[in-house]
Amino acid sequence: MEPFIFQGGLYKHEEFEELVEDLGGYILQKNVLQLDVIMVVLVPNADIPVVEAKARELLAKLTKAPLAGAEVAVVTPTLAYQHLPHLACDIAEYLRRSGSKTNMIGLARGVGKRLAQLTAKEVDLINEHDAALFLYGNFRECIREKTKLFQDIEVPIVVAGGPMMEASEVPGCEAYVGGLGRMMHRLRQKDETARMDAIVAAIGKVLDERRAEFDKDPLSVSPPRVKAEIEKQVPDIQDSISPTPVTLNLNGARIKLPYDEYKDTILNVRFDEGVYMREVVSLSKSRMKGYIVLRIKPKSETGFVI
Amino acid sequence: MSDLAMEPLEVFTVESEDREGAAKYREVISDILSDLNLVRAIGRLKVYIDPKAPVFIIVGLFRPGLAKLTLGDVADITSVEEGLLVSIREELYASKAVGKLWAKYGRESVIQTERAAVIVPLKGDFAKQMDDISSIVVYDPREDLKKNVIDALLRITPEGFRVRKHYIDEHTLAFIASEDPIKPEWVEMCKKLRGSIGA
Repeated sequence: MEPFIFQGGLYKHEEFEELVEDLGGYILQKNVLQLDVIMVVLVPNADIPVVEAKARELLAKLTKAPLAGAEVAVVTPTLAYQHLPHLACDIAEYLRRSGSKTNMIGLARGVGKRLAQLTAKEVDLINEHDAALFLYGNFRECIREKTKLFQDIEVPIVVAGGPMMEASEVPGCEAYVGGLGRMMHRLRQKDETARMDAIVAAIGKVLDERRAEFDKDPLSVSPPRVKAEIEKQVPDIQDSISPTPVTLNLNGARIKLPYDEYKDTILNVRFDEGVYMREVVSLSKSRMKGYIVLRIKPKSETGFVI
Repeated sequence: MSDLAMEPLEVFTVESEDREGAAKYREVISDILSDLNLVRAIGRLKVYIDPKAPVFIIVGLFRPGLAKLTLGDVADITSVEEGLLVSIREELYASKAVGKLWAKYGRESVIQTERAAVIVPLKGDFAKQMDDISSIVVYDPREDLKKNVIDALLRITPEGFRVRKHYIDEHTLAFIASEDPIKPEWVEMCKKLRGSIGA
């Protein structure tokens, strides 16, 4: 399946939605802004030309979304004006335009060279994501020093900073993108956009590697299917005011309902094959507002794929 | 060179062993100074950063020539039966000017005829009293400047450098910040930098 972003008018957009669903694809996210619709969709590879033709017919724009279906944490040392808003917000927004669900995390004690540290809660929260992007400052020395923050993080890490460095100089990260660092203006220059493209490419590569890893031992059920079933069988999800009540991860989803109340409802969701959710997933309480983190078990554990 | 001949930001350097970082930091500082409208107010600025120590030092020289605004500049003062009528032309300074007159003459003896017009009682010589009232300062740009400079310094300093030592007066500023207690050699360094820009 290939992820795309559909940007078009409200008029007749249901036709596109129906086509995608008929082809066996999924609507991952849909935002209606007055008369405009923005949707993140997954389309089976063989049917891409059909979908493209439909988008052309509706005069909509269809662009590839390399980061769709993944949740990325954008981590800044603090939420103070030294790091916000320009750089962090612009980059987070840029990642969203590439299809990812992006959460910004400002650390409680991420500042300084000697002082910087992560709390246990922050570590857990970052580990709930598919990848983490750390935004650091302008000095080589400080960036090297602050790699100590990566110690307990299990998800792949991409680092962005000011100096042009090799990833090997920043131990613990998968990729390093230079040329950004601390800045107090909006990222509008051509070279800055190019640096943000480099971040998207780096995260895209990291996610592809993770997907390849999951392919070696496939998930018992695909995350978009879990999302579709939950939306069908748990009507309360419609009442969640979050723009993405079920947020996809590469190996599961974050369900934005309280864990204690809805744990059993989710586990009792039944697939057409007769398999119950509890047989193929494990749930845990999220560090984000007590939501539900759902992780799909691999085939090696359940013995089947539906 | 006399101070009056100083051009806006004729000297602006950022020194550091990490040249790439220094160049980036120069951008950060000029962005902040233009955000806070300080480019024209600061004449010379020197910054020294050592990320290894770690220490951050900034020294600067203000450009002179910022005039205070007095009540005489923003109000018409005329004689009326009850005393002196002060009517403030510039709405922006109205509340501040009325407040100053209250403080000077007492709230009960000042008659407010409009939002921006008050009558104060005549006391002694009219001409002398008029001069007195005219010279009341309603806006001192240097106060604003000082506030903005402090704001700018806090934005410029690397986050986490919470140990600070600063010195600001009408003409100069000096600021040292670090994660660790300030060392005497940093103070020496700061003095040297101040000397180099003529402060």
